[in-house]
Amino acid sequence: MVALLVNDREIEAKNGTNVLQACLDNDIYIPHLCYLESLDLPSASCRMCFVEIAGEDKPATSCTTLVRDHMVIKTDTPAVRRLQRTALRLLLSVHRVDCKNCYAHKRCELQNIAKFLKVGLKSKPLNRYLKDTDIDEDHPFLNYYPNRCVLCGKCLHVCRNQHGQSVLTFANRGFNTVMSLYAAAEAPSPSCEDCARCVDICPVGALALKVNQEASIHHPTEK
Amino acid sequence: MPVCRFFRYPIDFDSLLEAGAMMGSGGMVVMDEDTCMVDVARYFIDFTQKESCGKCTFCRIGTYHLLKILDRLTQGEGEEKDLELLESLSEDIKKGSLCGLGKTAPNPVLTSFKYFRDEYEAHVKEKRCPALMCRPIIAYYFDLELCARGCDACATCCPVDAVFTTRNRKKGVDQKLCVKCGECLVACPPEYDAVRKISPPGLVPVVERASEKEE
Repeated sequence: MVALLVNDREIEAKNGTNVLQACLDNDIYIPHLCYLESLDLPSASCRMCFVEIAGEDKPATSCTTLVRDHMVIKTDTPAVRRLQRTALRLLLSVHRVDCKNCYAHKRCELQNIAKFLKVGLKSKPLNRYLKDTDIDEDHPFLNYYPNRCVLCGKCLHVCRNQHGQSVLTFANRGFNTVMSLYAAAEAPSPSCEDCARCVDICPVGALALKVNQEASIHHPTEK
Repeated sequence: MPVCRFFRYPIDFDSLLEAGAMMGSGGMVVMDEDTCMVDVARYFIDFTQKESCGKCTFCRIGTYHLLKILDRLTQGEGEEKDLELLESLSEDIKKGSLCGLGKTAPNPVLTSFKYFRDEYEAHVKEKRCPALMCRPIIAYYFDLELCARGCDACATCCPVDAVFTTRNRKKGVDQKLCVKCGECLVACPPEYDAVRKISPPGLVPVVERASEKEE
């Protein structure tokens, strides 16, 4: 066990854990989107879980930093918050903010983080750039929404953990990166309909089962 | 980096880094006042934006925003708040990106912003490109003092027939047709050297066409 000081509070953590996990275990919240405990190496792609570590000149991602004894950490310095807010605004600038018609409304991680960081859901001052396709319906059981996806990659990892091989994969590159779903022939058995782990893990509602879809959204009366 | 400030500056990894540049593959490009620093920054960001793998938020989305802002500036559509955004976003991308690409991608913006801020401001406030390079905010015209009577070199090479003849058989540019390709500038015989560029395009002198009867 090692002892570290987070926001002037002493917490204990097992050797080899990362700072993000140690904080979360002790009810200290750090915004994060792509972190999965089951993953050996964190993907560190969402750039959200910044903390300031005494002795280091700029904020570091807590998911990639292992705990050390006598570490002094702050999770709410201006530098940390500035990076987190920019990261969130960048994600929102490519996000279709249409919460009323999204099934993840009120349990969406983007909404939670925005509330926590006191950032409006408008991407201001950044312009919004959305992709042409709002919905990818090629898969027999799953719908994918590129304009909701934050590309955290958690769906890919849970699917791979479950089935040894993932139905989902990153496709294209750079700004045009999206998740892509393999067609039915390559889907694992039991079918995606019975598994739906990817849908459950998605922090923003970018994946949905087709059967639940018709029931849960498209409420033209609710306006 | 401006030569006047870095004349006799050592060329090694640490010194260049300190000055806001980097060694890269060891190449050096010398530019004069005919190269627009905003356009150069745009060119570099265009490159890194295309090279971004798309994994992390800052590089994937941030460099795209930088490119869009610089596009606006070079087209004369920039606003004053764009400059602030350009600077703060660049700083954040540098600090927040996952790998070396994103960490260095905004350098051309930050360094050119630091040393050539006046050029950025000219693009925004006056819609003027001091290097006369950004096509949407420049105009071509012929200096009538220098333009040779009866010479047709520019008119024959113009791809869009934007060159017309004036009453005393000199040349003028139809600004509505001109696509600012610069072919006339190349074609104009060096002994006349009559083609001029100006920015903002509103300052271009009015040249009258010969009436149809005279033509």
